[in-house]
Amino acid sequence: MKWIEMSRMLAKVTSINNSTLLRLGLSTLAMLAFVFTALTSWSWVGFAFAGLVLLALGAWFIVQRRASDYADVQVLMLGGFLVNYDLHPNLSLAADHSLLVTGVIVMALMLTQPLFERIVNRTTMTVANLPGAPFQANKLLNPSVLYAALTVVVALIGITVATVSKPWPVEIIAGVVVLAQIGAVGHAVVRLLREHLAPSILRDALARYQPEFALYFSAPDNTEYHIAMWLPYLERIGRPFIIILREEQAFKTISRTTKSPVIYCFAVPALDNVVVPSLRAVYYVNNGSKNAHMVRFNDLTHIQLLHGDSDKASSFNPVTAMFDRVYVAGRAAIDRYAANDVYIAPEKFVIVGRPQVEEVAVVRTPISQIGPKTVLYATTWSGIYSDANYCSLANGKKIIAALLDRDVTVILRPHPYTNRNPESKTIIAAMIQMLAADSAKTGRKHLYGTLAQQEMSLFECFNKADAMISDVSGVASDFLYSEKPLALTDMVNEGSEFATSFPLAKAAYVLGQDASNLDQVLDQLLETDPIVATRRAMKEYYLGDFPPDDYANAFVRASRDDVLTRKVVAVATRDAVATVNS
Amino acid sequence: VGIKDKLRAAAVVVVLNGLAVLAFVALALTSWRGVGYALAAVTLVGVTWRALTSGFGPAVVAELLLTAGLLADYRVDDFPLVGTGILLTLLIVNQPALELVVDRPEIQAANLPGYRAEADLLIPPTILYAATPVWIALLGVSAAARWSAWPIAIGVTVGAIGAIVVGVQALRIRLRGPWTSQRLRNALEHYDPAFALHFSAPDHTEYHVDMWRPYLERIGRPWIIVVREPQPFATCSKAAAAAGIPVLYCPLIEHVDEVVTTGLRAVFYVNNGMKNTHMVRFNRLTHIQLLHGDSDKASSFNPVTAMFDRIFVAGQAGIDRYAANGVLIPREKFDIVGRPQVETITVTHDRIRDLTDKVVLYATTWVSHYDDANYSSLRIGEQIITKLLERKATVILRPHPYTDRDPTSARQIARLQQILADDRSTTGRAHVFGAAASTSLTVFDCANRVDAMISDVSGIASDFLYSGKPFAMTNMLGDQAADFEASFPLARAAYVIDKDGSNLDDVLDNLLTHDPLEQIRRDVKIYYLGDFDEETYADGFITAARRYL
Repeated sequence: MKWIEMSRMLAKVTSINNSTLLRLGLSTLAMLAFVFTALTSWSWVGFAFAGLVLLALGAWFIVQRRASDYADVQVLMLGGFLVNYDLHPNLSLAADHSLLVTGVIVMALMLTQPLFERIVNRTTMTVANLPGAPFQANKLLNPSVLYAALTVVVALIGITVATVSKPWPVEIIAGVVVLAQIGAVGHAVVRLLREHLAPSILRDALARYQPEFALYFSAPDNTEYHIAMWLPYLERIGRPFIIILREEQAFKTISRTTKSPVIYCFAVPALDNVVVPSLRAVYYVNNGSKNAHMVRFNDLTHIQLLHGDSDKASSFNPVTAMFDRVYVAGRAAIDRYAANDVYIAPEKFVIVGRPQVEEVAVVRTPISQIGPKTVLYATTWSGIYSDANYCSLANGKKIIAALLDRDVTVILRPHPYTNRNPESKTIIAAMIQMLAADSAKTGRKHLYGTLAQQEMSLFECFNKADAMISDVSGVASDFLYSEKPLALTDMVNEGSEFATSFPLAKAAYVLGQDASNLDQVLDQLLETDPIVATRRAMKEYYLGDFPPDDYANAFVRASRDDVLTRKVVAVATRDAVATVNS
Repeated sequence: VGIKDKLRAAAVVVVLNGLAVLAFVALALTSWRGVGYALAAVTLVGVTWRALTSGFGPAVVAELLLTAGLLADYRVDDFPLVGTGILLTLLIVNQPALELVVDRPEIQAANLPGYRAEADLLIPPTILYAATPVWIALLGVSAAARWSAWPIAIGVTVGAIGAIVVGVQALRIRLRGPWTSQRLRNALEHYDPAFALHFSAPDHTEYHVDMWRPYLERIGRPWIIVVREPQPFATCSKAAAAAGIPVLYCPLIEHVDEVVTTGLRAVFYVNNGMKNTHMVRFNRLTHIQLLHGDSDKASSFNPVTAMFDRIFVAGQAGIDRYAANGVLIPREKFDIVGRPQVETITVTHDRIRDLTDKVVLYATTWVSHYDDANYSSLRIGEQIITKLLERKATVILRPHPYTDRDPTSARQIARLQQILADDRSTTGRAHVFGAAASTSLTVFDCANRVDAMISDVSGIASDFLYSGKPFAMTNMLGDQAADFEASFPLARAAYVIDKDGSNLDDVLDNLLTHDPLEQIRRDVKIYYLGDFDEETYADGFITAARRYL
């Protein structure tokens, strides 16, 4: 895998060089523009270079939505324009120095932009959905837009100079931009001052709202779905709660998905203002490194939910030991820590099921008694590493053909990343072809393509199917909830080891790497189904033992216990002052 | 503080850029050449000063404007000037990129046998950075004097070649990464450490490592120190050089993978640094938290500690503190190992009533910013000292090093020192105070020289416990006796002085003569510092540590 190593190296180096190359190119062009407009008599060459730079900056802004990275480039060009204007034989400086003044103001504004941007973009705390606490992330004007406007002004000055036109139109536009800038900065300063006075405003507002628990979230960008997964169930607890964010990125999405107050706290001390006396418990959905900032409030009950159970390392992270409670779906999760040498006090674990699967219908009718059958074939993607390639598409056509032979209706749902591998993409296309042809011939309504992959949710696919064939992936443990028969593909060819690596395999019919036992597997999956009892036991092991009509309430009940009881400690850290100094 | 620093830095940039704009305007657009050159000179000095104090990148705009202004003033329509302008621009705008290539975080090793650090760059990058303002200055001189542009053009060309050489060399070193780490890996595997100390911490807390290094060394197996920040790397590798302990600097999480060798069994930690999780994820290793001193502070019952496989505590007190603060950690994770550092304190077997010419240590803490945590007894310091002198005791006065931050405390200390000096000259008793007590002696030296101690609520008391000598504690917040003991369980073993000093006579009788708490003190010592033989006290730690290798 030497080439992977090398491409990774190159990626590292180019991650420096993408912007570096652009900078190199743009500043060379800008300097040429300056040199030719200011120092030579071929000023049209300079204007041409400047035009190139401005076009590039425009493109950069459209792609990146950020322009302030290239202040130096613009200042250089502007300097060239001004010198050129100053030297122009047809203009007398005394008669028309207003453009020079405008140019210098624009230049100064451009250079102070980084500072203004820092002021305008600075937020220490943003609050949404909390009556009486009106600090918002709203900016009067996005600094990037202002910066783009300044770039336009530079371009207009260039055009004015190059064409020796009247300067007043560009001067009016520049004036408007300057005023907008002043307004934006003023607005930001007022907002910062309010935030400075915020602790009392926020504390008062929270004191009125009386939150009893909080959801605390610190995470990499674009992982908000971990919150979305739990929000409906936290809402079902039926007590007022707040969401505390430590990164601004997630703020907009999350404050739209909930009616509960969302508070973004940039700094650690800001947390002191959010931990109000009514607060009793805090939920976490990941092991973000900033969780430690909140866990130090030792009179709150800290509850780790995590975001999905799997055999991945994140499901047995030693860091999880720092919480007071670790909510898990079933016994399997508890055993997984021990199996991986992570010792957590047993009292900390609470089995609450996986409320999200309540959407999955439980079917206990023996499969042999079901008439025309529907089978979901859910494949994973080929992954980055060959030793973790669980994708069964190599046998895909064989599997589809065998299912069609048995007059089965097929739902084909490949992993969304499947198309990243061109080979997989071809196989999927061929499989879809087979299904479409069969539909035309037999009239059976197979489901595939965007319908099965995007319009239907995974759980809808589960509910439409009578059985599933899937690769090793998180899909399998959720499907267990339905109690319907399940086949797993053993694509790494582990044979007898397979059930050790993936205990779930005990509850499934295992299809070998070469698919030679396909007929036998399909007989068991669709007719005899000899392991109903094992599957039932496995469901309990992975997803807890709760009646289907009341399944999600296990989580709600456990939560109420923990949210309504205040943890008892001798000395609360939030009241304790630094006691000993050595 | 961080925000203020950032704003100040931003303000400096704005001022420099503003000056540069003015210089440009004066040089390029007006006929006030003198003003222009003066402004340019001031800006250049500012840029250089800033560069020397905080690196180069952000002065790019100011430097560009100066260059542009000087070129415009030159206004010689010829080839060398145009060339100079372009080359100088490239040099200036590429400083940040060059810095990035040169200063990319890399794994580094010190004191590792068989491993030689990478060859250094041909030209030290700092020289390159410093060269840019020099080129601009030369361009200025050349322009002001209206010299030919050739010499400056040649000079800048040489500078550009230097930058390219360094950049290419630095890039090649980066690209050679796997080869480098293979060599490092081989050297490490050859050295075959049995355990590591993982240290991620704010600057200037390396004393936490120093505190444990001698005892980790006594385990008698090869080991390494893994540090995660640049400043501790410098100090730790120097401190560990004499003992030949390899120190590895791993700025990124992937570097940690490189130092986990096949023979490694255990990793020790001395704090709850954020990056500890980078190491704890290796679940094959035993992760042992030592922390850096036992106290009743929040850091001694941090829930994060639960993630380690083993938690070494000095005594049962260290275990109970977690439970008392609502932090549930299985009992099996704890090992009572004593606090080996106190082994240099001598344990007394004399009874204080049998001693003559008693020496008493008076150790005060500092006035903190919070009134409700103001444990300093200096308010009644004069009473304490006077009563001690009445009883013909020799006094060692050792205030907390931060005491002078508070002017009132500084005055009070000066007054106490005066009283002691006077008494020394009249009675000839050798009181120790000032630098003689605070810098020439360690706390442990002081503990060894005295027969008893009076201290404020502070970490000193639990260490002093080891000596078996009697001690008194001041209750400056005026807590009820029961509350005081609840907040500071150590007070059970101490004679408690009221905040107004009204019971001083009784306390001193007990402290210096009757000593009724002798037995309780022994129990409390075991509770805080473990039950180990004094001759082999530090072995408690060594034996426990060896169990996990």
